[in-house]
Amino acid sequence: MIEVDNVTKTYKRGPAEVRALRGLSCRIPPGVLTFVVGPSGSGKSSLLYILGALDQPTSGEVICQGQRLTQLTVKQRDVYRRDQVGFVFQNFNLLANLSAVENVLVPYFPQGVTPARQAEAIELLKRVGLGDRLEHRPSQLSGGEQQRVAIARALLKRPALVLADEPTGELDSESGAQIYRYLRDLRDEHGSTVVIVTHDRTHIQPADNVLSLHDGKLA
Amino acid sequence: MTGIGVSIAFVGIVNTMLMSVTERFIEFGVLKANGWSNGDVLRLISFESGLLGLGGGVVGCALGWIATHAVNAHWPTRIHLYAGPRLLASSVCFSIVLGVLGGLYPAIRASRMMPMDAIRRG
Repeated sequence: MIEVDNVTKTYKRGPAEVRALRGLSCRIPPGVLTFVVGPSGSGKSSLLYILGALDQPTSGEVICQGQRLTQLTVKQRDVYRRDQVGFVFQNFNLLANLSAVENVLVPYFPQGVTPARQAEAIELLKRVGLGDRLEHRPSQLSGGEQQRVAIARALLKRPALVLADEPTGELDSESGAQIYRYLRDLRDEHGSTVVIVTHDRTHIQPADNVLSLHDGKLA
Repeated sequence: MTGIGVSIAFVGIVNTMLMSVTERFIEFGVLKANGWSNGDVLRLISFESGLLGLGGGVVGCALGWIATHAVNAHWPTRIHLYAGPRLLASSVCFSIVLGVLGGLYPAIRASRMMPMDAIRRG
């Protein structure tokens, strides 16, 4: 269970002060696909990045898997991101000079990549239909293929929490539907909690949890 | 003379690594988003700048060695320069140390960046 309690997030953009979140409180149940929807500027991405410990709230409390994210040290946040959170970004965020397999293994480079983990990375890429693209660089892959590499990178951790920021924003509808299938498979197989920020409501199913944001609060 | 040479090499490495770090801002953000610690990023950049020092040292020593032989051959009765294995090896080691030191400031800058800043840019 993820608990978000009265969270605010304010940041400076030039001389202006932006209030991205304004006392947001919500509960995200485990093992469920949660969609965060709302207009641009409603605070969707800010919430996602706070859940992933990429950003800190200005005030309020966030508890993920029993951990108070606001009280974690920098090092604990690094470990939390590495071991418990899988990120899928709109613009893929793959490293251009690494192959598909290396991109999947990136989180584990500092600790050293074991043969077992390398084999697992290859297996995951095969599973997302990229068995013949293992050594390709991101520039040699289509947008949908790059996003599948990003999903394999998130899958390798077997994360408790997957955070996806507009994961199909730069993809055609067929590739987009495929990405959602992989995200649902991930939830089904590992019981991961999947939180997806999106403008596109077409992939929401009746069993999914939907958080609708407006002006930094639940609408 | 040596001091000037060392200073130029040091500034060159700092400048090269600063440019490299600036160009790869998004890359470091992605690494940190995936759980790389500040120390991991610091080690990566220090390793790269050490490699830069090693490359510069090896090339410099090779050129120096060739130059001493050329000078000795050109003025055999007037000059006898000598660059022995110990001097060459210590020069390469010194280049590596210089490379690592020159890369420290860019490495610290990159390690302290917030992953959010990079992801927003990406």
